Amino acid sequence: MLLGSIISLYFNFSEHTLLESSYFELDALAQYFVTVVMGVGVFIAAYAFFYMKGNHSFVKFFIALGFFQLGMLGLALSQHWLLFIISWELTSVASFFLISHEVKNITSQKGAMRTFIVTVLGGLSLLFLAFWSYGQTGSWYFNDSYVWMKGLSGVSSVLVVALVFMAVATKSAQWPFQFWLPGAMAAPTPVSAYLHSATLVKAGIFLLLRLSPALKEHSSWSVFFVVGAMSYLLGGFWAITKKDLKSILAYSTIAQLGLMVMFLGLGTDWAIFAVLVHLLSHAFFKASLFMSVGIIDHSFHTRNISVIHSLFKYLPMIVVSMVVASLAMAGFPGLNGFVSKELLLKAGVYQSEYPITLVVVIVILGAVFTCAYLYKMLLQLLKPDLSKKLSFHHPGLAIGLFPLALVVACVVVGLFPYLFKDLYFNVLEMLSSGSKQDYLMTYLKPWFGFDWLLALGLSSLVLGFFYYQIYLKQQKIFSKLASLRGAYIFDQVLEAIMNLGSKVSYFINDSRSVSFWLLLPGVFSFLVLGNLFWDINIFDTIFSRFDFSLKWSTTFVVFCLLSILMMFSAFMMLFNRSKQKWVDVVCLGLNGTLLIIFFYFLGAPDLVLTQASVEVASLSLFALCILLTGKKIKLKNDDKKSAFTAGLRIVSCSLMAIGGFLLALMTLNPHTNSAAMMNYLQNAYTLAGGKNLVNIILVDFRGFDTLGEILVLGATAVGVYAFLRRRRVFKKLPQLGLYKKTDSSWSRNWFSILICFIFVVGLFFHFRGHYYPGGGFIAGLVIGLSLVGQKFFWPESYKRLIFFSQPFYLLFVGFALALVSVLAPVIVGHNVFRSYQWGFFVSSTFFDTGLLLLVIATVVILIGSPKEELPEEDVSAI
Amino acid sequence: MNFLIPFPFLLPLIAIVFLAIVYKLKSSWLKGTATLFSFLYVVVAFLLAFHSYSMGTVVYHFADWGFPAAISYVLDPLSATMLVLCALSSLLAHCFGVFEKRKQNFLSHWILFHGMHAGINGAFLTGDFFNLFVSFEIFLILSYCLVLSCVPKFKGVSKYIYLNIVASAFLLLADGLCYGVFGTLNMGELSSILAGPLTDFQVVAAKVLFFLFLLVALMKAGSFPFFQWMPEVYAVLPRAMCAFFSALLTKVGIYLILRCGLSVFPGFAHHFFPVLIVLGLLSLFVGVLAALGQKEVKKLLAYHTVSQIGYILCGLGVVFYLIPQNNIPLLSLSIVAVVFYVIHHSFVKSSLFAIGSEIVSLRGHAKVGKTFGLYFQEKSLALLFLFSAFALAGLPPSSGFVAKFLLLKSMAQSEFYFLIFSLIVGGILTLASMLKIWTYVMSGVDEEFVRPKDYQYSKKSLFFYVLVSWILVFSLLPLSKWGEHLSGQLANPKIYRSSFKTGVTNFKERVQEK
Amino acid sequence: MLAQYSLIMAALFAIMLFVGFWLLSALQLWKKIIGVALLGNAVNFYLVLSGFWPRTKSTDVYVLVSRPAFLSLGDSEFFSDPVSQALVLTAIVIGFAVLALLLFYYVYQVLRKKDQL
Repeated sequence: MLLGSIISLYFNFSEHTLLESSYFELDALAQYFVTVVMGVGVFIAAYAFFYMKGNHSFVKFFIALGFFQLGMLGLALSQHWLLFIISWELTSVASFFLISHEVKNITSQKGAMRTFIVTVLGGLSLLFLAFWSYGQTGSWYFNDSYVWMKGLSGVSSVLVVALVFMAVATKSAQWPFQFWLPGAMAAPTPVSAYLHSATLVKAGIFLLLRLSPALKEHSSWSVFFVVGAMSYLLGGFWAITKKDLKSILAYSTIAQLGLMVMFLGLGTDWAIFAVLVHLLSHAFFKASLFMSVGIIDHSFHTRNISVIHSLFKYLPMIVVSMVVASLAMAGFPGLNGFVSKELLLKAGVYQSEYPITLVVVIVILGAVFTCAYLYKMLLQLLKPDLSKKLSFHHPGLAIGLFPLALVVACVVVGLFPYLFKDLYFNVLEMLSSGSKQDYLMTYLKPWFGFDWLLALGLSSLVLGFFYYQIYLKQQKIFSKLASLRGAYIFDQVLEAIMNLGSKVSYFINDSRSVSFWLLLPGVFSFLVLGNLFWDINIFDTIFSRFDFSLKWSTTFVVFCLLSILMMFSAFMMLFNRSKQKWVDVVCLGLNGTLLIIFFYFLGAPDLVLTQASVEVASLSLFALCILLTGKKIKLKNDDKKSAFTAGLRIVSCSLMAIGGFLLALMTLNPHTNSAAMMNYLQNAYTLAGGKNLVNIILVDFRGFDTLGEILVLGATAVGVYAFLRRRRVFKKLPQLGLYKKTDSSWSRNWFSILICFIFVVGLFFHFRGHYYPGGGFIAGLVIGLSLVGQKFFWPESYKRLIFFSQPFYLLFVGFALALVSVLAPVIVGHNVFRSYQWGFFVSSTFFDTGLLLLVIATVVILIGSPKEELPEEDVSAI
Repeated sequence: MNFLIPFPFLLPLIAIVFLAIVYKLKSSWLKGTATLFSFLYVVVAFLLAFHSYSMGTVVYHFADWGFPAAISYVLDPLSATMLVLCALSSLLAHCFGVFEKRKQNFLSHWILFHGMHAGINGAFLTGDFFNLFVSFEIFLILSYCLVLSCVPKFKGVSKYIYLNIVASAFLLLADGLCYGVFGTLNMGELSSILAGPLTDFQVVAAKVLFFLFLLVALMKAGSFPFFQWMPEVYAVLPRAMCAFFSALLTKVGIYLILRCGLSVFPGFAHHFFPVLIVLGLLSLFVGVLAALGQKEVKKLLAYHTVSQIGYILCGLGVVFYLIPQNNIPLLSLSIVAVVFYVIHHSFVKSSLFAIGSEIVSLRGHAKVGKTFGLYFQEKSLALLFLFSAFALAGLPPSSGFVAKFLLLKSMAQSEFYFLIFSLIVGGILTLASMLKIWTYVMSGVDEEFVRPKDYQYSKKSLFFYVLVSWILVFSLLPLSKWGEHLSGQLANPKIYRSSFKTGVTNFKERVQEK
Repeated sequence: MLAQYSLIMAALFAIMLFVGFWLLSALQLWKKIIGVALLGNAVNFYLVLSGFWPRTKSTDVYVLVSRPAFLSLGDSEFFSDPVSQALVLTAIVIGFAVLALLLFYYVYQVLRKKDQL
């Protein structure tokens, strides 16, 4: 860490450009800033070493600190927007880790969170600016951006300045974003000393310096003057009401930064010069103050100035550093603060944008406040009052050297300010439009002569004392005025957003709204499609393809009858208010049966057979379900339906219905140009060896879909079985007393004949599938149903069908067979799933057989599961 | 290498048979066999990716039939990417221990899981709309079974099931319309038909068809009006299954949108970009607001997924906007941005969910405000969470930053400044919610906590999860080459169409033999 | 294209959709399952519609291949596209699988005394 700082310092004072890559450039401004960062950094690093000794996560602290420095360096050196923003965010991230170092303390966590969000907000507004600039200039480099920014006018210029303002105000804790800085004081003191006085918060000033040549001509730039002045005065005002040493220093930092921002808002060369000097000085004395405060905290384990008194007796060296640093901040002659204050006053005088009186009054008023709180701080600390008991432990002499060293630096710079002349000169050369640099440099002297500015400056020292006396007498009024805190507002805003969020999520998750959400697709589709087809006459397009003549025939009459029956069955389901389940099932069955007849009418015999078998299967499932769960639906008490929900349902369903109607009309289309169909027709008999096109499509042409389908079937069977077994449903099922009715031997014989017949019929369907309606599915369903029938009504005989009564074996054997027939062609080098013909026999029969076995197994597992007999140990296995 | 193309679908089926055999022999080898197969999937996926890198788009016709008649699988860089994503997620889930210890010897679970895998792979590879339906059904129905049998409480599962049933119905309707109007179900052929001259009626039908596919895809992806199932399903799924689901479930929908918009219906895409953008913005804000108000970590993460899907939808909207403009470099950029975001989100979200599930197993619940001090109990867990959270929120130098940057860049170049603003605001809110978890769950001290005695969590696997997401940043060079290749193939639908005609098949020899 | 048949069939489909979605949005699980079954029927019907046209001379060329010997109680006046039939077959079977799953889930819920989903 130390090494890093030293190396960086070395590079800084050399004249070379550091990295050749154009992303980074050690230009004058960068040199200046790096000096500040690294100069203070060396001291802080050493101080932190002593301070954090014995702390847990010592290493983590220094790693975060290292990343922070990396970020600051990147910030300073970068010429590329993205790298700048990345470094900006990196410093935010690192500061988050540094502030939240004391993980046990919730307050520090909250403070870190607040800081992080606010500074990232600034970073993101910069990101937006960067993208905007990129979009307009096509480049990410600052130089191109400057050109663009200079040429802006009107709303865009205001917007750009607003974005920059967001970034600067959040980073440098200016009004209205100043509230995070006092919260960040929960961090360990080296962090406060480094980040929150010398470097992190100065990053905003740095950004202002970078952008000022480009943007200072815009009228909206004056927002910085206003905000800076406000922060300066408010910060000073608030500082005096605080009792926590670090809080005082935090508000003091806000004030000093406000001063710098205010002057940068002026934009003149004098102002820039003064700010440069002040920035450096402030870094020195503020860091020193923080360090001293840290030592006090470390020694007394408290920072409350109403408790700590007669400090000189305990820590004389610290007192010396603190007094000198305070004098520097107050502007006592001979110290660097005096030089910078004089320069600031001169800058206030030598400008023409704002009335000189106003500027000078603001500066002096702020100085009065500054002196006041410094008086308060020092007088409280030095008051010889030993009445309060304090636990004191001496921190050792070594650590006290650092603040002292910085203070000595303050004195040195105060007496010989032209030590840093080169730095200032180069920066001014870079940033300013004129050539006043030489003239300005002549003002780097420790004494300016007796003029009215000196009088003003010294008077502030005196006035400050009086102001402090006023404060002592009117403490209550002061504390009331100071209680408006931004942090509170921020927390409230965050709270409000989170409440809004929970309301939103509650609304979404309301259980009664489930049904409501289901109907959304309808509403949504209608909205979108309606918008899309606003100008097209849909009805023309769709209806014009139809021939609206009416031809009566017997077919049509039967057709109409069927349709009426179908509609009737659907409406019965709709209006079934009784709680009887079987009504629904009967209507469903009617619907399905009518569908079968429709399929017959439409010339689809395979479908007739399939729908028939599936209908039987699903009806038996439904029947089983009713038998197992009772005949009536039980309603809970809160089944209220509001008019709104009902209305919504009607609307959405009708929208779906209308859409469905139009969709169906669209899809009724003679397509004699389907290339796929031609292909199938040509090759069905010759290459695929069959005449029943449907089955060939299922098993050969589009057999891959069928493979997927049997996967679904098989896996569902396995899944359902596992689900039932895992949830121990089997144990809870009521016994189905079905087979008792077929106890007599006459019915048993009759039954066995029936089942054998069905079995044979099934096999018949299977083998004729390629030429006539039939095929694996139908056969499988039929055979499966017969086996289920046997399982239910004649269980002893069922068990004798060894292979067929082990449905899981059937399942996997069938699946494996199908897979083998799918994969076998790969070995020969053909594509997967290819079928071969050997005379009359086609290889897709293997696939069909596998299909058959699997479907049988599925049907048996699914429908036969309520009859499952399980061994006693239930939980293991499948 | 072409013969490998159907294997992402077929290999899991072979795995199922093997698993059944292994189960009969020695059921404790089940997990090992499954992991072995999962590793094989990764190998196959990478091989196919390399194949696609050298060959561009390859179409494989099943059963040695000719161009419009056969079902085809299309291997192009996009599908290869998604295949790799799926395989890697699956492998990670296996290593993490997909099922809890006592459920690992159940055959049904592994069958269902690998079957799901087959379905997802099929959906990514398919070039036929009905095969798409079948693959979706495989994947969905098996996931219903899996969720029903693995989930301790059923509370929100029904929404998932119903919404997907409705989505499947719509997909079937779309298939019917496609076949009814255009006479084909093949994506390549449809694309060629749509590129040629069309009657008015066909134009209307094409728009409706595209809309239906978009609707189905949006329902799957969990965008604004259709996302209520997400929080509840993710909140109750156990451990790595949650991670796996979150990585893949929604990406199927995004893939479908990309495929339809870029390859099949490119001429109609610009009609629908407002829909995508509006839905994207709504998902973004509603998701992140709901996340901020959540009290339970996993639900918070689930709502986040909704808002991240919103990001992706905005990106897709930009892609759709750019399609008719013939600005190939910009289109390529936006395609790559979306795909990269998908990959990044997949890994990061699955790692976050894995961590969330770990918190649940450690503390018994994961409620914000009642769980404290995780940082001290499991330091590595908390740090992993933090890294993943930063990656999600898009802080540099994580992959999230690159992904967001690419998206924003494509938007900047197409001058969608409002979108950029919304995305940035969304990013802040996302960050705030992540920090909420950190502040209230990780930090602080909980005095009464007693660690369960037999609790150990697999640090290594969790570490790998997070590592993968961060590795993405460092593999930018090969990824950018891949991205160029991908966008080159996708931005030009003619490549897609022509590769169907030159697909891998032995049809001609078959005809000649006769 | 004969409008008379087409309109009636389209209207049937619309009604089935309406009732199906209505039931699906009911509050009881049982009604929802019935709704799912009805929706399945409706969608299958729709798929067959997509491959439907009345038999004319030009379709007779298809007739040679797929005409059934069994079940031809008189020749049907319409022709149905085999591809659509294959799609419907697949859809019917998959619908059956879903229905089975839902029914068993229902049984489980009732046995746990929760009939409201």
